[in-house]
Amino acid sequence: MSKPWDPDALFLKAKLFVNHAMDEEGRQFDEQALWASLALELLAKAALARVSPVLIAVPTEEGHSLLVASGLVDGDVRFTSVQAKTLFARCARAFKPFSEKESKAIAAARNDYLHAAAPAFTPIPPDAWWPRFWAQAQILVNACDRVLEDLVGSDRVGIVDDHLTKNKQNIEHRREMLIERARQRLGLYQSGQMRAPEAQQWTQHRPGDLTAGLSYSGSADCPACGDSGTLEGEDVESAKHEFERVHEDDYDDWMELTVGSEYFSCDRCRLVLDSYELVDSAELPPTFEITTQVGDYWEPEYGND
Amino acid sequence: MRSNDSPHSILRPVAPKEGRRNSMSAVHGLDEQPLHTDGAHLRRPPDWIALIVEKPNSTPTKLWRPQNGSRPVPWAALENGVFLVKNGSERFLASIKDVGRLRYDPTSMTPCDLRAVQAAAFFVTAEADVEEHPWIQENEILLIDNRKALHGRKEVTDPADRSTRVVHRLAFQTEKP
Repeated sequence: MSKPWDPDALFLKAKLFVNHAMDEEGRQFDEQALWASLALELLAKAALARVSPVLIAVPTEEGHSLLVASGLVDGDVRFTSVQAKTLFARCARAFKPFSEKESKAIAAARNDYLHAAAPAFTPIPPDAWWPRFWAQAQILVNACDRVLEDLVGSDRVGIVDDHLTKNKQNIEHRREMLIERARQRLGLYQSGQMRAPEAQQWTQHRPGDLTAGLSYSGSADCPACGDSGTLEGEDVESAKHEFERVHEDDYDDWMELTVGSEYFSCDRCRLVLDSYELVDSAELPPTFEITTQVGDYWEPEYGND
Repeated sequence: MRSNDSPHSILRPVAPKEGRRNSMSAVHGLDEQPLHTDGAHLRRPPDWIALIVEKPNSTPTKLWRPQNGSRPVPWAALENGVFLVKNGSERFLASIKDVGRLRYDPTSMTPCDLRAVQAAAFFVTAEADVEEHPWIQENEILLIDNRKALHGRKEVTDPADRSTRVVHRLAFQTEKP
């Protein structure tokens, strides 16, 4: 039997579900989206299991699934895998720019459609939903070290490429819209033409109100007003321990971190770009450097000296 | 062909009730067999099949290769259609064309999606494009690349063949797993 964490078997099952979603059998969009959302979960499992089966095993007290996935226990122990939300959270950390927010929205729509009274899969029209789905699925296919052709076949790659092109256009349109609106708002405020309730809200703003509160932050020029805005990120891509001799027997040391940009906000024009894709589309730096105290990042090795 | 069978087996035409349980003979008996690859239900089917017949008989073996016939091979369906493969209590998913080899046996593989249905339908029409290999010489050997060709036994119409058509089958791998 296939192991339940066999990444190739998981990928093939995802392929079957994608076939159900794309086959021209007269399925309604709701059913197609349901199959596609199930395929996304399988792709997430395949991508993580490819790194280690332990990444998809449910960590219970007895650790049955973990033990089986790690190969320490062999036998008929039932293997249970983690929920979709956990899979997607892990994929977001491991396979950038996979979006936890987008994938969880797809999973939530699926759950509502399957388990609740929701009559339709999503209020988002198919023309807008498929580009967003394929933007995420493509990242997971790549994380499986496969190409889209492996998942959908060469005869259907064109359909997916059209969706991906549309997704890129959607992101560009959204970026343009957000930047333009930020400029417009700032212009209205500066010219005194802003409506009273909005102007009152504008003046109540405090620096930092728009930040996401991620672990690390840096600065970058705002693509809307040119002022200095805040770039934020959660994941450290590289870390370097630096030190300088300040006296004969005294050193200063610090950490220089490179952090992935995930979120941008500007206190002046109030622009917010809340995803990696939007930050990237606005040509903001993909990473930023920060300096932090060594103790904030890691504790030095113990030495009994 | 079973996973623990010897690489050498002896095949005789038998009626369905005489065939081994869960075998092609048990389903098709003396009727014409559908085009198939041997061991399609196994995780790792044999790469080559050698069929050795001691005495001539009047029931040919049919062969199909992608270059047979004029109808185009629906490769997209063969590569991307997904089948459920049943082997006793084991089940797994597979496509007909994968990693450079063909795997198909309609007796043990059930189409799961539209492209798989189209692929299965293609091999029904491909029956019109088969080459027939007649067994007319003594100690004749037919070597089949089981990764690239499908085969099947034609219908047994001569009652004498039921006792005289004895085929020794050697199944073997040439590629490392």
